Amino acid sequence: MKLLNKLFIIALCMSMPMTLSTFSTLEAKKKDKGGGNSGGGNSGGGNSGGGSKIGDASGTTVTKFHLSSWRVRGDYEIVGPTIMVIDGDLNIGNNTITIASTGSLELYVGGDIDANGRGSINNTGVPSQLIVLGTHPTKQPTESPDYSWTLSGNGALTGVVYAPNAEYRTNGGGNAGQTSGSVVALDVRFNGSPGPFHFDEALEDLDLGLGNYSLSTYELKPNGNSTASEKGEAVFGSTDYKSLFEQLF
Amino acid sequence: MNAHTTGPGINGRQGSALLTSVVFSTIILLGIAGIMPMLLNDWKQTARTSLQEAAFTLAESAVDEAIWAVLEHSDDENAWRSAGWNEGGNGNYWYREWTLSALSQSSGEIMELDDGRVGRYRAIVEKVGSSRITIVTQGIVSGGRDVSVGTEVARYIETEFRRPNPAGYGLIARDSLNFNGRPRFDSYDSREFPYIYSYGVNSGNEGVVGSTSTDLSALGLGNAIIDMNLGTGAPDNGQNPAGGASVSGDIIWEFEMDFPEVEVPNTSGWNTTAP
Repeated sequence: MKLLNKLFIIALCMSMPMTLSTFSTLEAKKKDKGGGNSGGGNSGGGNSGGGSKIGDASGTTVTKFHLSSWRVRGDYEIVGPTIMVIDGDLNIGNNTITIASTGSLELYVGGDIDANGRGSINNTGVPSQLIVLGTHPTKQPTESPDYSWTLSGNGALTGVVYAPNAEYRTNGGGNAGQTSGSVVALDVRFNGSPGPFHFDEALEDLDLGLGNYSLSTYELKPNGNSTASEKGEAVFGSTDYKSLFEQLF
Repeated sequence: MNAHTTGPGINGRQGSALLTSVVFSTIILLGIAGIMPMLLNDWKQTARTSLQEAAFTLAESAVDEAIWAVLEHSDDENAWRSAGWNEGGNGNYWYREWTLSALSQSSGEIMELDDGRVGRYRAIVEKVGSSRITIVTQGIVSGGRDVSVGTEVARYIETEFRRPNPAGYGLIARDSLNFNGRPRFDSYDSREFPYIYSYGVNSGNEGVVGSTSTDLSALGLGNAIIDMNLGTGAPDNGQNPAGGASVSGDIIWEFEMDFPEVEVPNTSGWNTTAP
């Protein structure tokens, strides 16, 4: 009996290193999956997993990433203002990136974007909280696009898409596959049974920070007239510029 | 026999000349009296026009200063303050005043537009943060030889500066637009809160679905229902660009828009590890 006990203890001790080794290997794989590759040079990227919250929900800090590419593993929730520059591809796959009401996501993507199945960027707020900008090389309108942003399955998109040198494609559809916001691309293709598209009129005043300011309207008020325009009244809080100037100076 | 002269004597001729000169003088005086108000009016009008033109020129100077500030300082609030601008009460705008004397190279010198005429100009600039910036300026001119004491003239200019906002259109392709099935297009306003969308109830028909391609065949709209405007870069050749689609808005021929280049922000110091 004692001999059996001794043999059991010896066997247990011998198996311990293996158990620890297996645990270490699993842990290392998990870290690799979750942490992604911290690449050299200016940007890193790679896989990510586990899913988590991104951003500062208080809104005081903008969370910023510069990645060579991003293969999403697991669901994420953007809870604060976030900017991501992705030099290459964004593969959302079957995962969901949810933008909370406190969050916003500004994406600069230089490669393809692909989402399928239940994969989507689910913006629970207004379209201006998700801005996706293409940084692809310039293409002539008649040239075929080298890059494609493809949303398959039934994922809805609420956001602003500006990819003047890439193709924007939706496959699938139904009411769940609706697009709300604004889309500009080199080619636009709605395949399958595309869902409805709702342009958000609030985007008419959106500033994407692209290009320079130029004169749009010019009005010299007639003599004795200092009435503010509707826009001027909204911005400056006064219906009459004469009284506003008198108040300020 | 004494010769008798019947013509006027020397006194008579003098009286006649005097009478004539009085008549002429009266006519001239009456003429001058009649012209004087017109001359005075013209003189005043010229003086006032001169004031208004000077005020307009100053208001334009303020527009130039404001544009320069927008391009130079953008959304850097510290830069605006350092440059002498003050923040408006509601936090939406900057304002500032310039006087000609302040622009003088010689300290303490009072610069005048004319003898006794001084001017100043002011600007109020909407803060950068929108694709459209409203600027209102005021040019003020006062005093001078030809106007009454205390006369002041102000002119106002309201301008809007805009930078390209490709998100402000709708669904636009630079080249081909292809729809399968029967997708539906309309607009809504996310600023309305609480927002409960219902097609045909509170949906709008703003915005454009279209292509800037000058080739009409770039539009492949299928059987889409478009409750928006339809744009095509092609000139009107009498064809129906909608094909089998139903369009309730206007057809915009030769549709154009800017496609500004996207510049990647400086990412120095950013997190390079995937989340």
